[in-house]
Amino acid sequence: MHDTSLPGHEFPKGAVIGSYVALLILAAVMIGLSQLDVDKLGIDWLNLHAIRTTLIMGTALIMGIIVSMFLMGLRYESKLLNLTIFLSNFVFLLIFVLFTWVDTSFRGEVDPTFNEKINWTSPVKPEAEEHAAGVAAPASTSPAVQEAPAAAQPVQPADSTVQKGQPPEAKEHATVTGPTNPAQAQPEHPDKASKPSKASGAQKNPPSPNPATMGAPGNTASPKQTAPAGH
Amino acid sequence: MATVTGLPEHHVAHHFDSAEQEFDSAKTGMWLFLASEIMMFGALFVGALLFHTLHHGGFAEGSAHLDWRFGAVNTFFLLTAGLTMGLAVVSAQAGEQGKVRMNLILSLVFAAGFLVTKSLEYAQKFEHGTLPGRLWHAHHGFSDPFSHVFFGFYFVMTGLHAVHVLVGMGLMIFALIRSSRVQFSRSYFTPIEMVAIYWALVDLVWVFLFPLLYLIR
Repeated sequence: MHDTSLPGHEFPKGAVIGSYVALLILAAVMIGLSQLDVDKLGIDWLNLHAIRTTLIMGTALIMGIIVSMFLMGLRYESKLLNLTIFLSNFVFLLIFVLFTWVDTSFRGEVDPTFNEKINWTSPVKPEAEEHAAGVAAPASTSPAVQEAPAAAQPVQPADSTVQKGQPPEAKEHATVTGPTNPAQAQPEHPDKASKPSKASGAQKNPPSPNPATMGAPGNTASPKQTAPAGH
Repeated sequence: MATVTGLPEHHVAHHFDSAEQEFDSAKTGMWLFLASEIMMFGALFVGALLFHTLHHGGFAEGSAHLDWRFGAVNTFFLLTAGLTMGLAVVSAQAGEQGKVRMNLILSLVFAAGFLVTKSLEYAQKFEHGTLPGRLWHAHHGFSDPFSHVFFGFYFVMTGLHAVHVLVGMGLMIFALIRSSRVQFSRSYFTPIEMVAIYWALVDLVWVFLFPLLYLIR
C-alpha cells in the first residue's frame, strides 16, 4: 500500500477517520465511567473506586496508543524507531519516579534548611475553622490585622527553641537571630522539633502536628502555625 | 518552477541526497523535539500522580470543583482538530491543495474553540479564588489543606498545554500561508506532516490530562 512516489509513509484516510471515531467513543466511555456512582453498587469487598480509576486511566492509555499509532504515524514507522521511543519512555519514567521518590523520602536529610524553605502554611481554610473565626472576629478583618493573633501570643525567650545538648554555637545563633515570636520559630529539623530530646526534655512547648503545612510526607510536624484564623 | 500538474517542483536542499533523506531528517528532528516535550510533561504527570496518592483528599476535593463538561468540550475540540490535521496530511499527500487549506482552517477554528473554552474555565477559577499557592482566596467548599496543591498542578499543566495549543495555532497559520503560496506538492509536504505530528502530541497530552484532572476523584 506504500506509495513509493511519496517521501515518508502514506496516511490512509480511513485510518485517520477511524481513529477519530474510536477516540470520541473512548472519551465518552471515560466520562461515563467517571460518572458511575460505584457506592450504589453495594460491593464492599472490592475497592471499586480504585478499579474505576484504573479503568479510566487504562482507557486513556488506549487513546494515547491510538493517537501515537495513527495520528503521529508510528504505525507506519520502522520497528527500530518504535522500540527506541517505547523503551526511552520507560527509562524516563523510571528516572522521574526515582528522583521523586528520593526527594519525598529523604527531603531535608542532607540539608535541613531545605525543609524549612518549602514547609509553608497552606492558604486553604477549612470551612469549620472559617465559621469559628467568623464568630470570633469581624468578617472585614484585613490581612494585616489577621497577623495580630499570632504576634500577640506570649513572647518566649528566643533561646527556647534551642534544646539542651545542642552545641553552644547553636544556642548563641538562636539568641542573636532567633525570632521572638514562637509562631515564627523554625526548628533546625522538623523531626527533631516534633520529638523532644529524651535527655533534656527541654522543649517546653512542643509543636502540635500541623497538617496544613506543605512538603514531604512526614513533614507535618512543623511548628510554623502562622495561619490566621479565617477571613 | 512549476510542473505539468501546476504544482511547484521541490528542490532538495544541497546537503541532502534525496527528498526521502530530507524528509527523514526533518522527521528525526521532530521526534527528538517531541521526546523533550514528553520528558517535560512526563515529569509533571509523575508529580501530579504522586501528590494525588499522597494527598488524595485534597485532590479529590479539587477535582470535584472542576466541571467535567468543560473538559469534555475541549476534548472534542482537540480531537476534531487532530482529525482535520490528519486529513490535511492526507490531502497534501494526494496533492489536493484546496483541501489542505480547508483542513488547516478548520483545525485553527477548533483550536481557537479550545482556547475560548479554556479561558472561560480559567475565568471561573479566578472568580472563585481557587488559585495555586498563596494566590488562593476561595472562601468556602474546601476542607482539605492540600486542595490548593491540586489547583497548582491544574494551572501549571493546563497552562503549559494551552501554550502548546497556541504554538500549534501559529504553526498552522505558517503552514496555511505556505499552502496559499502553493509551496507544497505531492513530493514536498514535510511542514504539514510535522505540524500534524506536533498537534497529535498536543492531543496525546490532553488525553491524559483530561482524566487525571477532571475525571479521577
